[in-house]
Amino acid sequence: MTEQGNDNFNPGRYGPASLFAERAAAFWIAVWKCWRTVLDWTVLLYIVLPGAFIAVGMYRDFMRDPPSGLTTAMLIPIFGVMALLQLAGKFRTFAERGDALFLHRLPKWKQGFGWMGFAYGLACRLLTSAVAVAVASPLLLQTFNISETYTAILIVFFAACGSLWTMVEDRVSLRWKGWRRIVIQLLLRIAFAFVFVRIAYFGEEYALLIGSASVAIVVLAAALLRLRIRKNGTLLHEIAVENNAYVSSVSLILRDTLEKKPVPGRRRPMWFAQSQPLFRHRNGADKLADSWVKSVLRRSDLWKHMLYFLGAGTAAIALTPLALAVIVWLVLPALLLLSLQRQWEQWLAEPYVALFTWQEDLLEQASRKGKLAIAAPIVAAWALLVGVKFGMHFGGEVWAAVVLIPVASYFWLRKVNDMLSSFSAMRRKKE
Amino acid sequence: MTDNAQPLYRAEVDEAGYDHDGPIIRNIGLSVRSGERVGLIGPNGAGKSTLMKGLLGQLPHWKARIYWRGEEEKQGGNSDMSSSIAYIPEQPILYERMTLWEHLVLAAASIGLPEEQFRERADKLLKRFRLYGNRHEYPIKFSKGMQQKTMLIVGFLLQPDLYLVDEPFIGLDPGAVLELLDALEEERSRGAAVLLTTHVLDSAERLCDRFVLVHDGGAAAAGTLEEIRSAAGCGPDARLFDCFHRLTAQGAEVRE
Repeated sequence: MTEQGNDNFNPGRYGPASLFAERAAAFWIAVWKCWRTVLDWTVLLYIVLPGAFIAVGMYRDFMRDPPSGLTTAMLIPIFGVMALLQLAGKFRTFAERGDALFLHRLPKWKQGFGWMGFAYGLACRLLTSAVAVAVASPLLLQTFNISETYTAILIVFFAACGSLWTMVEDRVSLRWKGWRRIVIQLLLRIAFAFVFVRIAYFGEEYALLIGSASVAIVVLAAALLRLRIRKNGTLLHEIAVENNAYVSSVSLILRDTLEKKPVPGRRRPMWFAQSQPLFRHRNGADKLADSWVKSVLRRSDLWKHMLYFLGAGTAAIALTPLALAVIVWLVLPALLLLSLQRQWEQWLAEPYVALFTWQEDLLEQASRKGKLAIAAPIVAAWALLVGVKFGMHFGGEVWAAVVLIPVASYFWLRKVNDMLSSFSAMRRKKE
Repeated sequence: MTDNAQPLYRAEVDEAGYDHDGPIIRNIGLSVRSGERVGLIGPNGAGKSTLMKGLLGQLPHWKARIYWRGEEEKQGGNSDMSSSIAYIPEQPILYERMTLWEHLVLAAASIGLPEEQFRERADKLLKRFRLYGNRHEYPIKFSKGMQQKTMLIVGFLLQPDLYLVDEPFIGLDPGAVLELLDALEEERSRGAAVLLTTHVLDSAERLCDRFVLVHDGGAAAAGTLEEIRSAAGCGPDARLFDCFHRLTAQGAEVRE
């Protein structure tokens, strides 16, 4: 093969649309490859397929025989879920750092990426809206007697609203930072969900009007896009959006090995903005534990993991009979602490923390203290739920369990924590 | 108290590198006494940073004997050496979710520095390197120079017996370089030893008592400036830059 034959690079075939498409494809292939590392045939055969069978069966039963007494008021939570679906996602351009060299400075490329991002977002939203409406359609069409025309119009309306929200959210993210951004976004989300659900709920009589309004909404979103394209200095924001999109797509399976960590958006932290300690610093162990706990609280991917744990544990206790709930309550702290132990060890391996030499006993003390501080509120919530279950089951004086079980829970957590921490310290010494 | 005639730290490196097949470093010996500053100088790719990584125990292939206060260090042995050394890397090493102040708190925790002393030292260093107003910000959002200053502050906070400093002048503004030189002078008067790699030969000449010129993975010359001049065949007024040029050019001629 000649040298020329090896070099099949043809700059002429690249334009904003083709490069955007290549990058979008590369992104989803990378995400899919990550997921494939855990979705092997055993997982598919023993977890995904049975899960899908159960879910489809439950869905089929629900649709065949919907609960009696469903009123049209039930449409509000259904449209609420659709609204939440539209609130997810960001305006994406698949920007890369190298674009700063020249692509981002050329109007043709900047406009091209912007319009492609808008079209990509609209297409994704049409797809997700269609799927969501299709899933809910037996209820919408048969139980609530919504017309087929209005159902089809709803798909367009949802996607149009989603596109407008994306541009509004992007504008807010560029304009404000920190607490202001959180508060403004929260208020806008509430307003969006309220208007969205209200229009969808009362709109059947004005179906054609809503159809036309959807087109107007897309035009409005496109106008916001035009303003966005004219704005300078947005590349870093776009790169951060792409970074976060990748992290959120794969963090569940790659959280132990994730190279692209979420980088703080602000110069100062939102939590403990004056570097104030969480614990009183009596010794080195307090300082070490304090640094770790604050790091966890400042990293959304880590505290979200704790929230998932809280949610799953709460569901496990709430949905099981009392005797089983007690067993679950006794086992859950150990699982939670094991997860925290893994996070602690990962933090110790962080290059900055690993720069220093740490005494074993100091590490053990700090690990005990830090894990207890993070786990205590979560375990207390579970204990409170078990207490409520006792109260509801036996009534009368047994309602005292609402106080006694959380207290007992604290001592149980401490005991389990001590055991696991000693075991981990022993393992480290052996290594 | 360390005997000043006896090196605080001595390394005799037989071979070192990233794998067994091609060691980058061969037969280099270096030592540093308390209160002494030794410059590890050499052209790009000579092996300075590799040697520094080896001294920190970060190289997979490392055949060497290390002596701390005259006693040979056993691998995995219990000695106070590792807690008596501070490493200031060329590329700042920072944690994304800790403020500058919290970086210092963590560093202080590693040596059990009492709170009062910590605050006194931290405040002084932050003011000296003009980062006091930024102490509650994330260093990951700082400029390169400010990040480099952060690493210097962390190193000086610990007041170790030996500093291993990799390219300390890169990214620093002239004011910060002066502050660094002053801080190193203060540390010398405290009795701390410094082993530093650098390309900035003017500052090295002003700062260091002795030099090791690393070239092609070996020591091309070692000693005081006078000894380096003599090895390079330069006159008594020759700058380190001229000696460096002559010694590395000689090496290149030999290779050719």
